[in-house]
Amino acid sequence: MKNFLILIVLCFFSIGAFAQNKFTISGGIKDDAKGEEIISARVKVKDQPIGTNSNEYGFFSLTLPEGKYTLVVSAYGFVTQEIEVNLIQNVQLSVQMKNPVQELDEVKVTAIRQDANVKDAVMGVERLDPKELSKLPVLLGEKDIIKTMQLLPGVKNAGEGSSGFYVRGGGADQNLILLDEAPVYNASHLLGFFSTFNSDAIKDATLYKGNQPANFGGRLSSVLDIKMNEGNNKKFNVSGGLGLISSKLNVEGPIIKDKASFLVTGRRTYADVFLKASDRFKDNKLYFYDLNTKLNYRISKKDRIYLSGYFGRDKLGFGETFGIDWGNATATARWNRIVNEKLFSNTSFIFSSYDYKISIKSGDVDFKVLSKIQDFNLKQEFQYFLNTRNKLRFGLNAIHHAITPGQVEAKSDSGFSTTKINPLKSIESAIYITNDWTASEKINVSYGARLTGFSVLGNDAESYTFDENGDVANTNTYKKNQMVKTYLIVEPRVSMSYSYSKTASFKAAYARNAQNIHLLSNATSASPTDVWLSTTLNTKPEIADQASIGWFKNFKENAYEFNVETYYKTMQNQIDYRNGANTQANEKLEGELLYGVGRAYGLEMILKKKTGKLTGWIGYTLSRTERKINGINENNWYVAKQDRTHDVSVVGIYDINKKLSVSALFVFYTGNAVTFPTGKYEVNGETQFSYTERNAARMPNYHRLDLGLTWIRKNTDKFESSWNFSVYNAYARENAYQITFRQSESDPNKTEAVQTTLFRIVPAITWNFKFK
Amino acid sequence: MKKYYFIITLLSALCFSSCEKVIDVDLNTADPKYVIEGFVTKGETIHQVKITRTLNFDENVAFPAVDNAIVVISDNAGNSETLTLASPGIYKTSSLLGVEGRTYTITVTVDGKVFTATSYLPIEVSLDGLDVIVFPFGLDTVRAVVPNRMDQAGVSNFYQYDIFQNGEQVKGVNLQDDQFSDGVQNEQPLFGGDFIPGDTVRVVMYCIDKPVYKYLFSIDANTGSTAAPANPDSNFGKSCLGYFSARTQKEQTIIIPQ
Repeated sequence: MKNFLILIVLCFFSIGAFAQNKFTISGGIKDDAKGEEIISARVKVKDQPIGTNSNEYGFFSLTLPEGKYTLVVSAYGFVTQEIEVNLIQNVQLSVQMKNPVQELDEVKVTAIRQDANVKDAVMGVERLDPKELSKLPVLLGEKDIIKTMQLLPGVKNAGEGSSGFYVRGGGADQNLILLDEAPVYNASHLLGFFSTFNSDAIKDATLYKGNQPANFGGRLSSVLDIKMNEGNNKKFNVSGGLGLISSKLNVEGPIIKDKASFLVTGRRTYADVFLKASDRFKDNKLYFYDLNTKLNYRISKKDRIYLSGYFGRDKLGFGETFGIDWGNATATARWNRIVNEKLFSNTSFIFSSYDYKISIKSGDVDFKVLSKIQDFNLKQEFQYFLNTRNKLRFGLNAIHHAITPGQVEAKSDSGFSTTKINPLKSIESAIYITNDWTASEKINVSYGARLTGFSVLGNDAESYTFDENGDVANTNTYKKNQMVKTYLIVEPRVSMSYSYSKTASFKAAYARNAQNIHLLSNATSASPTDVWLSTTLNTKPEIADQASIGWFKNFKENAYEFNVETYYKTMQNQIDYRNGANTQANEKLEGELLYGVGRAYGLEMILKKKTGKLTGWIGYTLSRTERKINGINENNWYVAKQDRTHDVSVVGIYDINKKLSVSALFVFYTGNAVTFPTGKYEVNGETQFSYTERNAARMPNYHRLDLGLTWIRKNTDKFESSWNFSVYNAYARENAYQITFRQSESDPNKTEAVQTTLFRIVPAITWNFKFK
Repeated sequence: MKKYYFIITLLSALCFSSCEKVIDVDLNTADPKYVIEGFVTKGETIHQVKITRTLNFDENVAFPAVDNAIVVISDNAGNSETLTLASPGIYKTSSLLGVEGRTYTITVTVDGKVFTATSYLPIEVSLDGLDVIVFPFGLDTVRAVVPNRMDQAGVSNFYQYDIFQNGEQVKGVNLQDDQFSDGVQNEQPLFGGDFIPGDTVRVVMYCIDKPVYKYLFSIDANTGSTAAPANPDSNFGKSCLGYFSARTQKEQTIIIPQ
């Protein structure tokens, strides 16, 4: 352990700079039309294998020996620029990238560096540009970045129409979903049919499938890093859309031109308007809304402040009798500072919360169940552009978690007693360092480590430890904020690429990830009332080790991209419920839990076509994911419910002309693993089913075709109007959402299986507009 | 979970095009298991134990009775009785008295296998009467029965109910506990049954112990949409199915008013 740290320190500091007369070119890269910073723009020295990328705030730094250079700056969707630099002192640049306006420009646009998949050391990463995806057909016309992501190899949806996802055999809670650095605990609306991300507010989304660099931590399977738009700081504009189930409005513009801008994006569904129209449901509530806001202010050439917030809520109710509402709120205050031409600092203070309330009121009964998770999070990160070969990132992070797992509030005469469960409190802290090292023209290495400390704090309430039957073994009371226990975990991360030719490379990676906030779920579909639990004396940190190798090859001048990756992952301290667990407002909840291990392995392939009239991809995943939990399935290995042997997706977008494009999407996957009865018996005068092995049966295979058409009706300098038509499940395949077993209605002596299908053909139409 | 399922159904009925159909599923079969269902009731001397076997999923419902078992029930006060076969699969005691606060043990020996379970007969909570509450649910009016009982403070109590509507038992498992209502007068209605004015409703309340409560809770949970249904944890362990419950029993009847 100690030797390991020394080794890391040596690695970082032995790479000194020896050459004399070196100067640094640094600066920002922006979208000329909107003034927004461009992430991952490529800055390259012409005709030399030297270059860098802009960071997530559009900043870059490149240190070169004295001399004359031509820099080539390129970014997806922008016209490539060449900039002459005479380097006799440090130079600051502000690069304005232009959108293509004429056919001629489009040629240059395609010439951008599209070989990142081959050259970059990091593997198992997918970047999605919301603009790219706006033409794909989606359920009810509601564009959704998470649903598009589910079409990539290694990513699986959590059921028909669901915005929940599983990455490489991990659980739905093992994905760290960040919105402007703030973790979003429940990223779904309407019981999972829509994600909380309004795609109009999103600038960039990157998914790391387990081999993320050390600056990310806290979840086992993946990181989905979503950045919100910053707001146009050149001119004011309003855009929006009217859809079948929701409407959206986006307003953005400068507060002080080129210095400060704002963005407000809102979305609301109106299913409840239809409810009101029918007598039967008129007292019922069913809607959700989202609000994304962002402000940014460039205080000086070196300092910039961002404030961003998200607020979203779902409401469901049946008259006064029963109501449930849930939602996330996040806020991020961020300060970027260019300390000097080589050192970039980012300080963030982040608030993030998720809560749900259930209220039941009938007659004298009036009670509420409340549950909440709340984080205060401080992050400090430095990016140090040491030289052309080394780019360091180091920082620290401290999060205070408070989790109220479910608390009952009742009126005094309602027949319920109020139970107050003190929140579980903890501090999760981490320090990390990571380096992107260009070892040679052919070898890139990204290596680093993260040290996570998780401290369980006392909360003045009784704390229990449990025996193997789930009964209380010991009871202790720890004072408020007393350090009860600290878990320390070292998470090494390394990935490397070897480009044996200009268009092909081999990559290998290893990462360890730890997770201390766990979601407990025992239903087939994710529910807003699933319980979050932090690591305690009983529940240990979840740990995953993932190793992967891959081959990356581009064809026809990077127009086609082909990637193959395989991975093997082991997981420790996995959690499941006992049979018949009481999950609501239970202060002895951990007595209902069982612990075990998991493993997952698979092969992922993707062939992408990125340019031309026809774009899209074909993805295929072959995988397996298993668990072994003490007390389940006679302590034998069993396949996890999200196990799918084969998973195929085909996505195509064809631009017929500048105004009209069509798209199609096909998916096929093996049915999920489920537990079906193996026999029946009678208890309490009713037929019951008996079960043997866990998840030994399969749902029927799933397949579906969606079609879409986008028609830009009008596009002038002032106004743009477009229509989007889509058909979900075009050939009306009756896919099984659920299979249940019951006594036959026609013959009570027989038992039958009943399949529920949620969506057959679902057409949708959306109108989008933009005032410029 | 049923609530969410209901919401999903509602949602899909409204905007989407969901459907249900009966399908053929090729299910695995398993070796038959014994199913034991035994009760000891406070104040009674005749207690019943029923022993049957499991069937494959596709077989007609006629659960085979087991008649060759030796069944013994004893308590922790030194009393014991061997049950006699009264009818196919049904075994009965004649003199063993059910007493609250005692722990009962059942031992079943059949075909060379021995199954045992124990159950604690809880201190009785009295069922004083029944109330009817009426509340609107959408356009419907729902009538539910509220058992009047004063929960015992300071201990965990578990209640099981059988509901009879005009003499016919309402399907499903009805359970209550005092997790949120320790030591208070009960106001929680029982949601089984769809009553109309004039119906005669009889409610039988049993005070049961925690393992039996958990067993019945799991039976109930399996009928919903749990991700991984499994055989409930029985006080017999995993060797056979069913359960053994020592319990108190009280009943009340009400006619649903206009």
